[in-house]
Amino acid sequence: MTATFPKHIPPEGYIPPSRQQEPPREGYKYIGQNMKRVEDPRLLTGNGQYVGDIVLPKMAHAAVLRSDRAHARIKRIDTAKAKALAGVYLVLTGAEAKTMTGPTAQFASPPVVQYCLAVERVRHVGEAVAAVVAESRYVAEDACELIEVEYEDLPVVVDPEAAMTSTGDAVLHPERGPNNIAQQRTFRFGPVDEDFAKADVVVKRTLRWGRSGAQPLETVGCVAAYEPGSGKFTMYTNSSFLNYVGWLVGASLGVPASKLNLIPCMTGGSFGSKLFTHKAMTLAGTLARAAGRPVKYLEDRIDSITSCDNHGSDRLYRCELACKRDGTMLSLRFQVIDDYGAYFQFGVGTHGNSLCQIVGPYRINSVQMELVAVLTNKCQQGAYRGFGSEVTNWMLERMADAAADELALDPVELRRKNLIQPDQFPYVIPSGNIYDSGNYPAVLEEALRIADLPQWKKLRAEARAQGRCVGIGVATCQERSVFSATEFWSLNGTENPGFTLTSSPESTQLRIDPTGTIHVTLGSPCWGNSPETMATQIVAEQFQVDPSQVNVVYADTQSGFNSTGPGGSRFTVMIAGAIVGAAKRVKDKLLRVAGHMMETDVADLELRDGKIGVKGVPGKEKPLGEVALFAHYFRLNLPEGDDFRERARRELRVRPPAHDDAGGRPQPSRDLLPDHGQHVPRGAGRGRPEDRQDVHPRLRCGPRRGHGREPDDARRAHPRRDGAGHRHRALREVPLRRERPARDRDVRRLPDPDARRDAAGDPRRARRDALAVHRVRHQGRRRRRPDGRARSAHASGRGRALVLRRALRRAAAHAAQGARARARGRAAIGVR
Amino acid sequence: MKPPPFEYVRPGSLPEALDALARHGATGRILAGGQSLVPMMNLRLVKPAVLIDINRVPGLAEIRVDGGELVIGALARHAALLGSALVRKHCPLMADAYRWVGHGPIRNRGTLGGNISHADPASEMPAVLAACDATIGVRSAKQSRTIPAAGFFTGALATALAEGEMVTEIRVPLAQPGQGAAWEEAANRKGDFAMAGVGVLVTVAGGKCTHAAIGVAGMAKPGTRLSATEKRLVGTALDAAAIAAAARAAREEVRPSTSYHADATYKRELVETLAARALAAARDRAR
Repeated sequence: MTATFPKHIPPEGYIPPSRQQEPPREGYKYIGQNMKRVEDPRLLTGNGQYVGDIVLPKMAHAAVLRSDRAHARIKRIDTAKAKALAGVYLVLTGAEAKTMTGPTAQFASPPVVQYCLAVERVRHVGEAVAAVVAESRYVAEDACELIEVEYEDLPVVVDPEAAMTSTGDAVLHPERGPNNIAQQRTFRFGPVDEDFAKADVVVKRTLRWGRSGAQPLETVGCVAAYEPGSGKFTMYTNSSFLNYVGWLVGASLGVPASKLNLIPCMTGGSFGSKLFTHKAMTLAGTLARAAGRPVKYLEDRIDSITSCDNHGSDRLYRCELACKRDGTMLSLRFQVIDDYGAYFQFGVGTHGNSLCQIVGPYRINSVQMELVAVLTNKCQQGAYRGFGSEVTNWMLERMADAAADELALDPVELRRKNLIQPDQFPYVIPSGNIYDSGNYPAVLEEALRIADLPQWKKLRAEARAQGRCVGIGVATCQERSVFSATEFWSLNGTENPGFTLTSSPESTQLRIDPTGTIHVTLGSPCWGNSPETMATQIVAEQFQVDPSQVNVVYADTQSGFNSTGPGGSRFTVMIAGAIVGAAKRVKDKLLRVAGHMMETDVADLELRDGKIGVKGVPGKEKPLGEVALFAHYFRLNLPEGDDFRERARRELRVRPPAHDDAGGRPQPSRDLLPDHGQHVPRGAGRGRPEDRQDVHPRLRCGPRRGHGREPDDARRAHPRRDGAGHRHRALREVPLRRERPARDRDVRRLPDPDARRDAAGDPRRARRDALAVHRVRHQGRRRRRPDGRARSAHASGRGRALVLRRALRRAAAHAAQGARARARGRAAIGVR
Repeated sequence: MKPPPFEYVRPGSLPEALDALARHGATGRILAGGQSLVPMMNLRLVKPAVLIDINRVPGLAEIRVDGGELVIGALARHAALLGSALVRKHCPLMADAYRWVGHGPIRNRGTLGGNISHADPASEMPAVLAACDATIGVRSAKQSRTIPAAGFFTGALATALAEGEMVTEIRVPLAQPGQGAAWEEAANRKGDFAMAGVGVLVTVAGGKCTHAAIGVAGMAKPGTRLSATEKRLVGTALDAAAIAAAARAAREEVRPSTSYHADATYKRELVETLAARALAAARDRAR
């Protein structure tokens, strides 16, 4: 079948109107200015209130006995000695826990059943086998040593290719079927065969990307309390996904969401590792209920390494890139075998993500992906920085270099030739996602200019003359911003579609108390960035108050609003818009009250220096606190009417794309997020102050994580039958600050290419046009999936063509509904 | 990652410490900096019944010159040694090697006495002390004796310390004029245990090498000297050819272990490269 948009141009009427709240402007007082992080004083003085700091009355501590086998039947567990140890309150095996708590949460469809403690069979080294609750963690670990487990070893599957043909006892989940293939499907976008027929050269490569994962300083943990009277759970958690996962944890525990309140704690590092954390919550809840007292379970480093939720992609690619002799890329066809480990938490969500930017910044006309998701005796994959699309970027860049090699072309020239051109935006990629805007050639040229490639080539020649192995790498990557959870299930089989599209919202609440302090309640928890600083800057700007007058807190799940979470760089991008929306409503109300107090027309009022004053009349003003006090306690002095009856309290739920609702440029959503910048080595020290404070640390992390998976990780991550994998994982060396591969880097913002489209020379209009592109997702989606027809077609299963069409439609809709491509691109040149 | 139960004793003097050690015998372990012992206890790889904490024992952390020797108390911290002017002056090989030892927090707690008592084959200091012909002063409740560094290390994580004995001081002959020292190392990350490390001491007089000592880390046994390679160097001008030949000889002479991060073949290659670098640097410094 052919692509819906053969010329990569969105169809007429696909672009809905803008929801921009404020036009772009310059001269912000707080936004974009360097400011000490609001979060720092309490973090730097050891008062961050992490999960580990939480202490509840009568609280006990849990430890987990973990499997030293990669694959085995549990024949017998004897907990008698452990139970007899002084200070032990409870010992629970998987079989016992199963009678109290159901399978753990997951997004795969059909699910691969997983429990918080293994039942009957262990499937990877480190899988939880039994748990102990005791007066201290020390006693709990002592008791773990006293638990006797008799295993019957089963064949171990560690090679993803071998997993495709596993049979018999080597099948991890026999109830799912007779093999270890969790999902195998082919997705075809555009005229792949025709494009390959036109090719002069087909470049073929087999590429292996080993798994890696995050190592947060603070591990995953949960303090759970259960009140038998009300049947209610309270959990302190460092999950960054608590709004999304909370009610799922409730389902595992067999209680409705009304009986479960998750209270977010400060998070000590994530990069995906704090996204789900459901196993800790489910286990702590199970134990607290069974033990009859609050339980703290905090992973130690071994728990974290061997049984986490953040092992990243583990892929084997067989790629074919169809090219013309001049280097023009025509089509990409590949098989990818992805080793998901023992369970299937997000399904193939990491490939749903990949498909949103499957051609990178290149004009590749068609794509075919055969996806084989296999299950092996390794810790399950979860969310790790990039969520799978970073691997696709790597694959594309390897293929671009391979093509340059085979065609004897300069790698830069080959890339330059294939970049999507500035006048081609908005650009629909074969899988249906839309890149809204961009100027990739300009990014590349700027990178080349800053990098001073001729100089590096000279250095390379000199180094090689000395016998040193020195190379220069070039990469041009496209990175979309924010994710929508739809990608977790968008590639599910038609027979088990899972969910439909989600709006993946974010929200915030803003109110002013009688003293004039502005309280912001964020719907998403902190996961280690600077959300409070970001919110403070925006609110201070909106109200023209000193940042010290702004108080930012995080909502728990029962007081908070709809939210998805900060994963995928969503925090600033999404919540900034919600804050602006809420601020504008409260501000309107404030001005109306002030107008009445000062007997002045609202249109003549302005906010300035923490006061509300009459425009052009210095001194004629009232402090914000005085107006707030009046609004709170002296409302009887206000006239009757809706203008004043309304409470000074608003919430705004923002659905993607909220990014540009924050009001023009430069805005924090763009300034603070590295994905919107261009990473270029050399020339350190340039850039704006907030870059050095907030962006540069994150940029440093990117190359380092690439560096971390550089050695032959695949080999090292494999657990061995003798359990050596357990220890070997612990021996893996996490790259530290000193191992950073590149010392020089630079971030450049190029002028927004959208402005170019404004024929009338009105920057506001230009911005609106660009924003309109983002809007596509919602309304386009609604049009493309009317009245549930797609679902009924799923149910009837009408043949292959329909399946493919559906896949395309789903991918397109997926792209449409929040997988917005901030298509400004990145170019990186690294010299090693 | 919590240790099993243990008893904790904190003697206030050396005789008290030695008494405790005598009383508890093989079930007792000395706690100095704890940078290896405590993680091993947390992983339950070692389970001492009694920890004898010597951190409050006075006089054990001194760094001083006594006659022709640099005397280092067993409780001297890595950080103190790294920053010590006496060490830089009188044992430049140790100063050079300390650049590679651990990270700041580890060096702040870890001690030289604890380091050599632990006798990790990948550790730098056993090789340094062996190359320097240092002697280790050890005491028990009954007696005291000195052991040459080369004989102190008997194997991986094994020393000549008898039951009830502890290291009290390390004595290093002072560096002499005409002597040059250099440490070269390869580790996956800076501060990690060495995949391979080579320490060199050479004395040059009249343009000829009159003495050479080479200690290697990362091999099967800690504190290994390469005596055959050393002999080859004596009498040469330490020119490029002599150094290259010695480096090749070192490659053959070492007895590398295979570790998780480097197999034996790779370690031999590392030794050749590192030995050549260290020899050249030491020669240049000797001039």
